[in-house]
Amino acid sequence: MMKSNPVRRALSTLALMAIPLALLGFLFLMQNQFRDIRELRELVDESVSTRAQLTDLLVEHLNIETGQRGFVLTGRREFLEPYVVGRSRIDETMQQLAGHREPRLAPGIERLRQLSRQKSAFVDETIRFAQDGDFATAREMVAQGRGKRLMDAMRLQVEQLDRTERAHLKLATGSRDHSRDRLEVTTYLLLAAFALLLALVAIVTARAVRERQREFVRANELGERQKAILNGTVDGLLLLDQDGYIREVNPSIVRLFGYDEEFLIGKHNTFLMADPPALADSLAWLRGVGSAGRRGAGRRMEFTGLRQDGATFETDVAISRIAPGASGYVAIIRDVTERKRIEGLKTEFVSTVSHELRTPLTSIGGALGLLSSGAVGQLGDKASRLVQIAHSNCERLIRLINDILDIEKIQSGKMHFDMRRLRIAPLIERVTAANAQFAATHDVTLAITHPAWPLVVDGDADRLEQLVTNLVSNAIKHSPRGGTVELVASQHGQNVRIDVCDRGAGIPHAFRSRIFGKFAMADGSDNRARGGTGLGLSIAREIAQRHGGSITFADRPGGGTTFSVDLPLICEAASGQPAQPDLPAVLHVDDDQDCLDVVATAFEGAARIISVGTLDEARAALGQHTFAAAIIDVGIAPHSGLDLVPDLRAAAPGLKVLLFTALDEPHADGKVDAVLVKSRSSVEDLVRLTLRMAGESKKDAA
Amino acid sequence: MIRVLYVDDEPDIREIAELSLSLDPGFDVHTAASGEEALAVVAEWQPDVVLLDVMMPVMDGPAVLAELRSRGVNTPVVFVTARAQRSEMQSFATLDAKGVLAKPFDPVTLAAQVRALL
Repeated sequence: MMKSNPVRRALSTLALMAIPLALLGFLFLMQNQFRDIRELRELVDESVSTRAQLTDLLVEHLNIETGQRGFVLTGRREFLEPYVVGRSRIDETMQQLAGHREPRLAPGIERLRQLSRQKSAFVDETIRFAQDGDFATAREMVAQGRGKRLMDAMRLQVEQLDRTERAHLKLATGSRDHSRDRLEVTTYLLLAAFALLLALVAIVTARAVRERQREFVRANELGERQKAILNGTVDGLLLLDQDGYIREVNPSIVRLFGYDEEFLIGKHNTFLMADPPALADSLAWLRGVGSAGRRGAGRRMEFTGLRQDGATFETDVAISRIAPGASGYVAIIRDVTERKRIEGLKTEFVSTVSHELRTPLTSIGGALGLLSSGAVGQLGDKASRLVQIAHSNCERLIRLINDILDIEKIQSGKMHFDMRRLRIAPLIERVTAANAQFAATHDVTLAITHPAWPLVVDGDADRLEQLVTNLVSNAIKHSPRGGTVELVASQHGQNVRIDVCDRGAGIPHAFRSRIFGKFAMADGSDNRARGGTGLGLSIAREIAQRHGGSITFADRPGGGTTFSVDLPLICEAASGQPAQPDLPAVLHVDDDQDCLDVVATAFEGAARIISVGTLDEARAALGQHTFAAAIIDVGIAPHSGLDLVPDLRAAAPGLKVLLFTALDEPHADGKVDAVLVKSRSSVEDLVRLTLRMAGESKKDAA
Repeated sequence: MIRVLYVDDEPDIREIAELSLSLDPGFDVHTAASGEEALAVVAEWQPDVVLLDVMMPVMDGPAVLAELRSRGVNTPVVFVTARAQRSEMQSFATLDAKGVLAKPFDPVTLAAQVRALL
């Protein structure tokens, strides 16, 4: 159906164009016909008048003959009257006849004129004789019959002309008849075509109309269906215009909020909130909302709804643009009072369970702890062993409860994270100290490596310690006796990375995909013997994710596994820490942001470092600070850092310039005070050298 | 001798705690089974520190602390709780308590932990 649409449209257009064309043709033909008829009419008129004139001429000649004969025979003058009348008209009639110059008539008329003149002359002559009293000659002339012969010749001539005219008329009429017949046929044909075209147009139009009707019905059905969906849904639904005013609501909104539909239309959406934000804030928030996609709603939020009766309830809202780039929004509001209530019950339940389980465990664990410690008297070997088993399993049960509570809290978002600026090195040192005893019982050594400069993250110290502890205790448990577990902190791009490496048996392939799952243990019996709960990595991953980080693992070359935690690095110098005027100011110019970050972090606490990415920014900074030293890179696209040296010298005479570059031979030619090549010198070297030279700069200045 | 009063409604835990604390020869340990009893013992015996269970019927730990303070008793108080959730622990800190110990406690090191808080 859809495919034939363009064809049908073209067809109907053609038909519509053909109709006026056909009408034009018809008009042209009709006009021709009318002209023909007019011509025929004129022809007939002319022919009739010619024939009338011919008849007139004959009658007039008969009149003058009658007058001639009466006068000649009787001699009475009153008989001359018809002659006088006829004679006066003959010339006039003849003149009219001579006006017809048609070639078919001209010779006949010429002949007739001669005959008429001869006849007139003959009659005139006889009349003259008679008038002169010579009636005998006149009678003699009449009796000779010349007049009669002339008259016969004229009659003959008139008849001939009449015949010619009649034949001509017949011919003309015949040809007109023929053309009229043709016109008739053409007219019928045209009419038929016209009717056909009209029928075609009618059919096409009817089809289009039917199609449109069907589409209309379909659209109507769709609308009805959507309305049914919207009306039937338990969630409240608002259609908002681009400024957040309510355009449409579904019955659930009326049920949820208690307002009439008519009342709500035109109100701003914040009207429904118990604690509405400022209109401008709400609008700004709305502008940031995208359209719903595969990943769900454009934006989600929670607010406390305000009912008409003043009661409040908790809601969960998913809001999206009606279409990408469209100006309206659709908001789906869910009453989450029940969910919140259940969450509250669950929290209460978890809390109660934890208390109820921990209370007896306090007694059991306490009793077993006292027994196994020997504080309340020595036990026999077998009894001591049994008490030890009971005690370690009791402790495991306590850990299990703690882990379950932890994971429940993290996943429900209930766990509070006390985020502060932290340094990683002291954190991993605390973890190692706390696990030293545990490592010793497994005959495992703990080794720490971290850079000299501080790695800073935003995090909850207790939770991050918990995370690293989980990894370290796993590593200890899986290490061979006499093995070493290494903790390595380093910078990894924009992250701080903590690696925990063991020389254990590695992670079985079948287990890798679910290693972070809850109660995940590679081999139940084996690992339970090691005292794990199967929740440690799951908790570790949750903690890492809540810090905006991640946790991964990889096989170690030479056997064993490395677990890596990545946490976003905080660059304190770049984030505008309060100035510490007693520290030397150091300018660092480099177009590599990573390098700027690393160096800034390395100098933290030792110098006030100003990091810039271009020479222009560097020159601007020279006007604002008094620097003791400057660290510059050679290749600062599109310039060379060496271009900056004269500016630096001019700004502060005692300022020390250090080149920190990736180029092996920067050709500084004594323009700078020191050159460090990035691949050969560590950042610690740079810090040490810079601080020493900054100190000299201070002495120079003094 | 440091006089320590341990208050808990669970008799087993009272017994274990008393044993554990008594491992420290410098501790003189008494126990009480309820908030009301604790108030009476504090008035009569005047301990140097009170270890208070949080969850007790009738009068819970924080209520005992509040009552002590309202009577003008400034004896240091350490809470002991099985609801070892940090948010709660932090809220205890604001209640003029010396500290919070989590249940289950380690019986061998309990006395040392109390000493560390004093």
